[in-house]
Amino acid sequence: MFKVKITDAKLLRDMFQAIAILVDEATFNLTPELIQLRAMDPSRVAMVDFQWPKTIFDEYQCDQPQKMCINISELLKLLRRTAKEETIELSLNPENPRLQIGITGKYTRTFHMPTLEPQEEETPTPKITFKTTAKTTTDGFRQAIEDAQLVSDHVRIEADAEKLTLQATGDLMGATIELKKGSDALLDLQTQEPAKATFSLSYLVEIIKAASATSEIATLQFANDMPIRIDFHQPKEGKLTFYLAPRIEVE
Amino acid sequence: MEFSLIADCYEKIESTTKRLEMTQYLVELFKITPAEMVDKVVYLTQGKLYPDFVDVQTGIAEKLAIQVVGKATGRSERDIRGELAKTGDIGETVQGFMTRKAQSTLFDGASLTVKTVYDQLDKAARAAGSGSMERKLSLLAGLLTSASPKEAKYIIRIVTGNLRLGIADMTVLDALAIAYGGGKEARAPLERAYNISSDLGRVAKIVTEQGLGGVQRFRVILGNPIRPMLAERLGSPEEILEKLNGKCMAEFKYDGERVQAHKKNGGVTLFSRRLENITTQYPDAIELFKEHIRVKNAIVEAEFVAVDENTGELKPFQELMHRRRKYGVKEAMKKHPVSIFIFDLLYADKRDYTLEPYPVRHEKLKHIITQGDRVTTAEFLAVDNVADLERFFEKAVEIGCEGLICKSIAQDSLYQAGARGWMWIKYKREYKSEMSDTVDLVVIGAYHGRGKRAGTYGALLLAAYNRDDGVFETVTKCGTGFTDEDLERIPKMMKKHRVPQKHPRVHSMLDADVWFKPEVVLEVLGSEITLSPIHTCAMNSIREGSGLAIRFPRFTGNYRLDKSAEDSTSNEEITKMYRNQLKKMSES
Repeated sequence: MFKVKITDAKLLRDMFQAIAILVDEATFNLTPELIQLRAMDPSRVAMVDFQWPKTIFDEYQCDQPQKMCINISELLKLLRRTAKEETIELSLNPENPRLQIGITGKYTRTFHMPTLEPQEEETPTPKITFKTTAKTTTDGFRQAIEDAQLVSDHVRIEADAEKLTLQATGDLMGATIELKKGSDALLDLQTQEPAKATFSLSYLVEIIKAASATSEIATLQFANDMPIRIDFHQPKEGKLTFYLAPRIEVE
Repeated sequence: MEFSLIADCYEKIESTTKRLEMTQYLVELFKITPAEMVDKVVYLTQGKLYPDFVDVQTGIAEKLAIQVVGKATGRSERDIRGELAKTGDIGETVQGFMTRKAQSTLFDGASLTVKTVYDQLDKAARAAGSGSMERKLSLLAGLLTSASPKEAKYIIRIVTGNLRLGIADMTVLDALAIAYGGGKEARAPLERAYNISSDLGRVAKIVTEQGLGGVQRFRVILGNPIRPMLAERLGSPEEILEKLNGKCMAEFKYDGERVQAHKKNGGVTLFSRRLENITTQYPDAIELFKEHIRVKNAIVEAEFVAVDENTGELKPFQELMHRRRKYGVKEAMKKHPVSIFIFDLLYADKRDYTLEPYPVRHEKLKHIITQGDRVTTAEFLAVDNVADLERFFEKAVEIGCEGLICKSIAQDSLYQAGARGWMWIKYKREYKSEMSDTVDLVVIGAYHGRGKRAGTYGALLLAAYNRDDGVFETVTKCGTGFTDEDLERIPKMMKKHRVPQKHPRVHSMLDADVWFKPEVVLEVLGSEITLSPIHTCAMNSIREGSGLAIRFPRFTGNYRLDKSAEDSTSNEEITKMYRNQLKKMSES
């Protein structure tokens, strides 16, 4: 038996949205303590690592660990029909492989959708020795990324002891965005040695846009030409982490 | 089974132009393919995912393909377009970019299996509805990311419909015969199985799993289209009769769309001549088949012809093109109705009729259909002499048919699926006399209208003037070109000219519903002038027993009130027009 209830419909919707930008069919691990998912996009360029402790929910019941695979974009279609203050109840009946979605507000509606064959293999976590850790406001980082997007489709992220620099070079235009240590946007910066790596903006923009709905602070970790790890701090011990593989500089 | 095995095989096939070598490479590939994958390998090798009659759009447009390559390699669409302009081949382009990718991945993927490739392509092909483009993009890009450069080349060629290995269906059958049928001699039964199922993958699976015995037990399956039997062509009735041992069944060759209809438990599926599923285009035909085919299960072949709903006249093939659409089917159905002329029966009541001679099939066909206004058997006539054949041919041409199909009625006249042979012989016109000028014709009779034209005339019987004899000779039946005002005006105008029976100065072999004194002259434009056994104009002047007729006539809107009946176009002028404009038709 799996059954959860949450009174903040928007929060639930935003969390699923952050997963949906990378995966279409998502296999969740449901345990008595938390809901967890780790998945890569089909191109294996980005990964989402997501944990939702039972404390986030108003009611949480899960008798034994199990897997649940659902089509996230279909689920989101239903959740988009909810208003902010509505209560959502998700339940999974073992006899009946369907996810039931009950939405209660001014009136009550109950949807159900099929569950799919869960993906058996677990996605591993990339093992990376990071050289730099930067703590930013999610919004500050988002603004910087959106500036870069004006001129290019990729951005180089660079750190030295004093600042975080985003360098975007397009065919005609370019941009340099600096986040200085101690500024409103950059809350903390620890650099063992200067590091830089380039990332696709199409991924970054989607990730930040979706994550900023539930997160105020983001921690970036990276090293020279290695994947970047971004932790978006979540309410109540939730965890939303993305990994993004770097671009390879050509020519 | 790893996809690299397939990619390696394709590379070898591409390196040769010799059919024998290609066949040998395919044999090797089929031998290492597990039985449960062989159908998929066959579809992929043809650059497809399913047999043609499965109604799923497999291919993606170049624009989306470029986005896929961009996402998989991290290159900009501009770079890819630039490279594509140089190589001219999306396969080469992706192979190049895959060897120098601009985007790394978090983990290396496992090597691709044929099953993964097929399943992902299948998922992408079936993605529909909102967000389906993004889903296709992400699935295909994901597939490419896991592929080696060489594999990526062939995958992108398959999804863009550019896998041109030059392997004919028959080469696949040869390879299957050698790999699993015990040798090349097995090709004939394999070919028959293919011709009656149109599904190479299915044939491959059967021969791999059950051997040649399974193939020989294979029968027509309701729902799988049968590859159509085709006709040879001869230019003269003498040759045709000689080829068919002096007698045959001649059938009108309608100028329409050839359709194979499968009625299964009462439901109907339609396939085009190219075996595409065209069921959704003809909801009207579906209902007609349900009603007019009296058995629960059957496969019939028919010609769909556009008709004028007011007059019942046949219209040329181009009119049917209005029915080739996905949207607005209902409107098109109302504006462009079709008549159905059934000409063969391939399956009925659990019996495979392709193995029966034509007379048996035709007899059974007549038995299982209820003839009606819009559904009939194709007009047929048993003939054993040139004169009858010629007359029947002219009749066919005049009403708008292309000519005749003359069919063998011998014991061995089985339905030869997928084959062009001498069991059926086309007799089409070699000459055509196109009309470029209008003619002025006299109204001498009329037919009652139906449908929207109930209460007025559906068509007028028109005549040319024969000066020598002082008579009016019929040349065409015209029901096209009339506006609503014309339809209202003409009966009033003609009322005073009505006569109780055919006017003595009118020479007609046709029976009109209403007869008129020759008085009123209308201007008409036709598409061409043909020989006709039923119109009396210039009778015997070109050929003994035949007159001349105007095909596809249309009223121009001009009432030639200035002309008397005797001033109308004469039979001599029409003869001259026929002769002057006679042109050899191009082969088609």
